[in-house]
Amino acid sequence: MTKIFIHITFIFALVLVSDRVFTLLFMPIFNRTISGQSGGSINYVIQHPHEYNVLILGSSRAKNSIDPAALSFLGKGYNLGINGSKPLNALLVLDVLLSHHVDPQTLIVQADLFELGPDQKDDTIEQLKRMYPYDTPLVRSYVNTMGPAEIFKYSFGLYRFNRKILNITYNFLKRNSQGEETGFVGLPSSPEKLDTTPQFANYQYDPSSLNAQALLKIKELADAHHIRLIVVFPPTYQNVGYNSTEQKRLREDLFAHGITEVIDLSTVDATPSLKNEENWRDSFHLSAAGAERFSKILASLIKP
Amino acid sequence: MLFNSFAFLIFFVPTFLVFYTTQGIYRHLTLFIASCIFYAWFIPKYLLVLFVLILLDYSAAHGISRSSHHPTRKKIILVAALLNTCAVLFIFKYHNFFTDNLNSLGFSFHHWDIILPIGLSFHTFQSLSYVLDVYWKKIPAERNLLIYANYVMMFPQLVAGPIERGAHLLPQLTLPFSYTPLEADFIIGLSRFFYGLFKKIVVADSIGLYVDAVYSHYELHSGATLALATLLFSLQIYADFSGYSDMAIGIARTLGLRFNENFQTPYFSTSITEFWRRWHISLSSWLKDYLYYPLVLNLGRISKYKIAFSTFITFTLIGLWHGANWTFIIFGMLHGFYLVVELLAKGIWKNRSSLTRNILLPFQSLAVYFFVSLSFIFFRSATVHQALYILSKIVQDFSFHTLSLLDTTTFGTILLTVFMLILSEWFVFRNYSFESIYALRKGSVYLSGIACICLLFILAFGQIGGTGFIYFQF
Repeated sequence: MTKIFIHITFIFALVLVSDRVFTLLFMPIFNRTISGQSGGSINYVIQHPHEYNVLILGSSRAKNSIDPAALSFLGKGYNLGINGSKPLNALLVLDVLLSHHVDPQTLIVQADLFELGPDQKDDTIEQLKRMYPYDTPLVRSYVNTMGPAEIFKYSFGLYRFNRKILNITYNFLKRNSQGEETGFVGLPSSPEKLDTTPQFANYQYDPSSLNAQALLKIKELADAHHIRLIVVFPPTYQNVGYNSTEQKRLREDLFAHGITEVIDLSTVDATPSLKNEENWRDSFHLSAAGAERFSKILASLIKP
Repeated sequence: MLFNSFAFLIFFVPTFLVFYTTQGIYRHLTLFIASCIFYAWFIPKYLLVLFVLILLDYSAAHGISRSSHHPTRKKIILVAALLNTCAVLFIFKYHNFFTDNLNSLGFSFHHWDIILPIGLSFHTFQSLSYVLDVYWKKIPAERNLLIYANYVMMFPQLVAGPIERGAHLLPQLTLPFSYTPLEADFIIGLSRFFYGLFKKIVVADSIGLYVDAVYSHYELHSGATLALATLLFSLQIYADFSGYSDMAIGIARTLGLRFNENFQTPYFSTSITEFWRRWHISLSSWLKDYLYYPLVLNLGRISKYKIAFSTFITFTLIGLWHGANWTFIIFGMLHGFYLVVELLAKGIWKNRSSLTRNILLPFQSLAVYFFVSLSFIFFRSATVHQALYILSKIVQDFSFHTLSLLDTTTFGTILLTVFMLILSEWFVFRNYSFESIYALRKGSVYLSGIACICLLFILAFGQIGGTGFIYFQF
């Protein structure tokens, strides 16, 4: 039994040492990677802490829909939208940026009703994982609520790169910050007829969910750093997944918690010029042409 | 419970410690309770199905053993036992398939809303072989019910094999069950477990991301993309299933038990016949012993055509064993067809020089990979219609210009992990077993190195989330 114990200890010590050495060697590469959505775009902003007056956080629906150039009256802007990101991820991104002394004056957070439903553990971990390489106290505090398995895995640096080591290496070698000026990425319009089947099963607003709570925490952080917070709900093609009752409840709840600047364009009726199919890549993503129209509408609704 | 879950780690450490520190009947009890917990983790009520099967076949084997001087009674008990076991399999696995097919012909049988107990095909086959072996007097009937229960439901091989035989496993379980698992067993077992884990959560699950994305929207993809997904699926299913087998064999080995090999680098085979000697060995040898040989011997004078017929029937049943769907049956029939062609073409190129043979070997392996992949289109598709659509799209719409990798960086991970798999299989496991590596000077250090590399890859590239195994559905 002693020999077996020694053998296991030897293997795990070897793994731990290799893990630490690799993380130590790879972290500088990660920190210097300034393109891609595996941390590169965040690193890019961190390396330009005082350059941007406006930061846009959210999912691909922010990244492909909001052109910071259209909001130039607020100052220079950068779109930090990350595919699949939800408010919880946006909160962690903001936390990392602020801890690196990034000081925007305006923060635009894109959100959707379907992101604010009841929590699903796997999804929450996915949101957290994207920020694992930064290893902040806020990330750790969330990880600690995810159970012993996640805490154990989080203790390994290799795991914290979230299977993205090759992506990061590729982006590092490419040294090409895609859309580095604004972060905005326009999409071509759909060549085929758009599918209007709802993609998400649950469109109920759950104010106790981690994502809903994260929106409130974003507000707290913004207030503490004197940042103006604007929450934007973009539309979907033919109102796919729109639920007026729940959307109203969500809006009222945000107001009640002091988030007063909410631009709710979640129904396409509020943006009639976007009804045409050519404005869309798919039911949830605007095409470049649609994004330009949407950004102008947004600019007209944001008071300088 | 999945081997690739955190729950398994929590389960296995105390199981191992209690197993290690107990002896005899207590060790059997430990194994039995652990196996019950392991199985109940999926759907607890199906433990009852397992217990019923165990009791029936245990009693039948005893009945057969006691009726050695009454051939008719012995045969009746055997037939009853086989019918019982097959009835359980039929009720849970094939009833709905047959009723659905009959209903499509105008009948109106009731469709049952039941879930297939995990691993039913595996443990029913293990029970069947035991009863048949007792009948054929290859092994004596096991007297101890607990030992027999552990033979059928021992947790490492309970849900996806390898399908063990009584002659091999029962002697290892026979009382006194008091040996101390050796350090060598533990080191070999642990390394093998981690290598299996690497295959599953690094290789299979990474490839699965691409294959699932393509196959779930197959209408949207070009022939080239579908072909690539199919070729990758062949590697995914190999890494998934052989990974599971490696883990099962590894876990059993840490407990001092030895299971039969289930895979031997099958994609390096140079013929389909050789492929089936190296792929899912425990199933193909089971069917060879309990179906193919009896079939050939009972068809009268042996001829090439009777062998071809028996081969085709056996492989059609291998298809049906996999699942109650025409896609699996066609998968089996395709392999039967390949084997029949090989059998009938045997000797045509007999006079090739050894140089020509050596030059052709890699191309033969590629051809095997190609034809096996072709059959996997049916295996992976949900319906025959889908499989035929994919096949026709590959044939009619194949152009490298339309090949889509979906996400290039994810595909980079797939390439890296497949490269690692091929590298390890070609240079290491084609020539060395874990045992032979251990026997080398500093063998335990090499095995620790293998375990360590596997763990590092798992941490860096693994889909660590407890994804199910493909063969659990069977």
